Amino acid sequence: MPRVIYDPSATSIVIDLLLEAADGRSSLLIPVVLDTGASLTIVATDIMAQLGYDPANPGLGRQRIITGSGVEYAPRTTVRSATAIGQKVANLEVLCHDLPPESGVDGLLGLSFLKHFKLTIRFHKGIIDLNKER
Amino acid sequence: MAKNPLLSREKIKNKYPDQWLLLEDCELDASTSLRKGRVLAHSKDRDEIHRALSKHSGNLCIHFTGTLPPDTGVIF
Repeated sequence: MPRVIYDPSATSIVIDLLLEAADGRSSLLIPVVLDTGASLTIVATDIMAQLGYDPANPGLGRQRIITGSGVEYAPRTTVRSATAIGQKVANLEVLCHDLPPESGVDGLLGLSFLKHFKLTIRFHKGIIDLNKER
Repeated sequence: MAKNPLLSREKIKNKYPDQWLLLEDCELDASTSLRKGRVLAHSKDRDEIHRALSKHSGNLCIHFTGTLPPDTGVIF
């Protein structure tokens, strides 16, 4: 059963997200916050560039995003695959957007990934289960 | 040049507290969480690690060993 154990006293739930490069020949694991309040998965611009997704390409669509501090626009692209908590999603839509370094993460794992599964969070015990719906 | 040793996640945290790291030869568990890795670069500055990414290729891992202060909330 895909399960992650985390520190229930932590300020936020940080997990590892494995992203496949655009050419399919390499991958990069990054720390992200599990965020059921985020519509989309967000990855830092530098990371996306390193993986070959070219976030500076003017041909990419730009997504309007509403954040805690206002409305912004961020490039939107599709990664070949993303894997977290033992579950993989192919062709995942991702926004290229930077979070502050103080956050301790390089992105957010949002509903565009999580909606494919049954997510159970046991907050008192610090246990996350992510399973395919039957 | 000799490679750094392969270290467990716990040893990495103890050896490089409150730092950003770039790792290679990473081993993941069944839940896609980092188990072990070999340190390529470490810094208190995340941007340094992002810049170091461009000097390496293959399957890599970025890892942060710090935690947010308990009196700091997070809203994205």
